[in-house]
Amino acid sequence: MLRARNLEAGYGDLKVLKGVSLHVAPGEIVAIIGANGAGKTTLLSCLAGLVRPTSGSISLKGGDVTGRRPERMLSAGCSLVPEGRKLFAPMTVRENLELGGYAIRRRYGARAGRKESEADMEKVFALFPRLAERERQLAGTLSGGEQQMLAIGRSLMARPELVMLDEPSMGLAPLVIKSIFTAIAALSESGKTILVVEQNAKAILRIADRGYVMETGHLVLEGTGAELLSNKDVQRAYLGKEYSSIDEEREVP
Amino acid sequence: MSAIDPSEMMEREDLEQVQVERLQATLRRACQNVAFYRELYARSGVDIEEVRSLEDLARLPFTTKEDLRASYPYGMFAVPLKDIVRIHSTSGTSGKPVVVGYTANDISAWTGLVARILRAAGVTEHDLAQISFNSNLSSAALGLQYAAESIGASVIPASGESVARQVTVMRDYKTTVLVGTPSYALHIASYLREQRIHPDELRLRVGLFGAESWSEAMREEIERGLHLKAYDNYGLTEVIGPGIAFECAERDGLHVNEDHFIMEVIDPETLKPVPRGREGELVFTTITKQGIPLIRYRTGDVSAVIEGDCPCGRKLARMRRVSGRIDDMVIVDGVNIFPSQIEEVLLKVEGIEPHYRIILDRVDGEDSVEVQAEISEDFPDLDEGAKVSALRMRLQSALDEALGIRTRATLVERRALERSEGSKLKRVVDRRPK
Repeated sequence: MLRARNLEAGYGDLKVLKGVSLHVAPGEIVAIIGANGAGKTTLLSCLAGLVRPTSGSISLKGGDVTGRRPERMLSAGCSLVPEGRKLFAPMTVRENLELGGYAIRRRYGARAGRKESEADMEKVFALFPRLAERERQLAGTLSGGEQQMLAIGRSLMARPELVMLDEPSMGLAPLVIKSIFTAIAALSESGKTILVVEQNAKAILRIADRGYVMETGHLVLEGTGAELLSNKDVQRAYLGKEYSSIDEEREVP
Repeated sequence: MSAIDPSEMMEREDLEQVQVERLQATLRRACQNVAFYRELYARSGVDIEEVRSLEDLARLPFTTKEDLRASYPYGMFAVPLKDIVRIHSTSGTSGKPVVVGYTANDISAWTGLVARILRAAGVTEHDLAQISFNSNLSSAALGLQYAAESIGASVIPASGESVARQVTVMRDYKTTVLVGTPSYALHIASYLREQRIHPDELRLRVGLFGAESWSEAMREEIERGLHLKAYDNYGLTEVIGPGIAFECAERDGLHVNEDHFIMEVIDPETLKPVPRGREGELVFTTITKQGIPLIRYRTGDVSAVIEGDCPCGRKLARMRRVSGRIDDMVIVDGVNIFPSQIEEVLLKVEGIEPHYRIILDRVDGEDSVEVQAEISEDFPDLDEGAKVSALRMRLQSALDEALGIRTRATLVERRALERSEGSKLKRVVDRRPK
């Protein structure tokens, strides 16, 4: 589905991605975990076309999409659910979803487009019944968990094949986080391919098929969810320890 | 349950992506955690960030057994000792042993790789696998035991038992799979003959042999003596143990577990890659190991990549069965020749035995190569000069075609040359002045 080779990107003089290679196979849930500032969000932004890579390549479904702008990435089937949701607070749930369906409506023309978009919205409601209940409520009045569901729902309105999620559990209460991970698993069951960046390593690795560990602009480890969960380095990184402190612990005679 | 792991069927493009990702992550961890690699790359002036493709791997320097010995015991470890759950070592007969540590994840990944050896040979949960490797510090016995258990076979750990006891167990427990070294299998076979035990009194059907290089002739002898189908597998304790490469039912080369190891074949003199398909020294890079990542490790073993797809469906590249050590290589007028290449030619020429001697000499500043081969038992008659000389011509042209150097073929009477009795034989006589 998605394949990146040697991606480098940054902001001004600051190089954030220092040669990242990763792939996501069709139907997989792939997690990227790592400490704050490792470059996870920049990586997703780069893959979504929001940040232009200074070097390296990205391909989607076998075609080169390096340097494509976000709207073209979206029409190619790759959507991003950004960190912090970025919803339109003064608009209703329905209106937010309709915004997500803009590209589909344009593709099919006014009348057919509206019909297609309605059908897509029904699918979103089927996946997240809570949103159906709150259809006319303003997005700003939703709980954090509901807002996250709406953000995911809005991205689904563009009919992506690959859904990228940036920190979906950020700022949510533990119980709500659980429902978000259940929703991600359900999304995967519905046939979407998923790439997710997450600080909550334990929870995401439990549902992920594979994962990568990111450290200061590099991917330093790859493995199945179970492999990474049982990896001692991951366990330490998850607790926020740095390699230097591991070196100190080393008892090499 | 499919016998082939999906990872063994990956398309080349997908496999290469996985290899590049894992290679880059391995280099990162190796440099972060192992002073040896950090210093080696600083000294050689290479930056691991320049490794962007599999071809770029060739920018990195090699590691050798001497490097591993110099790091005795724990210098190559990339994780703290408390993360290590198993330690194996090489025998250390030719110097300090090499110590290899495995994390819990290394063990489970390794078990999966060794299970590929077993599945490819058709071993299932219905089998009883008797493991006759001499265990102790080495990795072979435990590697096979874990893997056989993982696929549900019943394991009989018989390491260190006498041959008599091995055979008793084999007969009474109805062992179906024999695991060990090929030379030990031959030893068991000759014991059966001595004791007048017919191989059909046993239930053996599969033999998984490794840890030594063995010829096709030896395979035939084992199969005749034990009435089983013998499979070769390849591994090195330094790299992981068994589980680097294995034979499938085709038994036409060994599939390399490329999703965990990157294979290269180099010219041991120039250290450059040999043209694809040519014989050279095997070099492996581990791309999933955590305890001890090994980057461009020179194995000293001689093999070659086999071109083309395998009918078994696995997409993993194949290497030829290891035919010897690079120490056996001879250089003739700047061309590398392995005795195994000559052996291969002899096997193809009808009328001669695969027993040979190579005599190197220097005449007027030029190297000369004489290949002496024995005339076969079933060749009509040595006295028929015309036939013998035709045979010599056939051998000569086969050698010329295969070697790319000038040789002189000579025929000798049967049984004129020394036979191997399990020990190494001096097949090359070098009379060139040093």
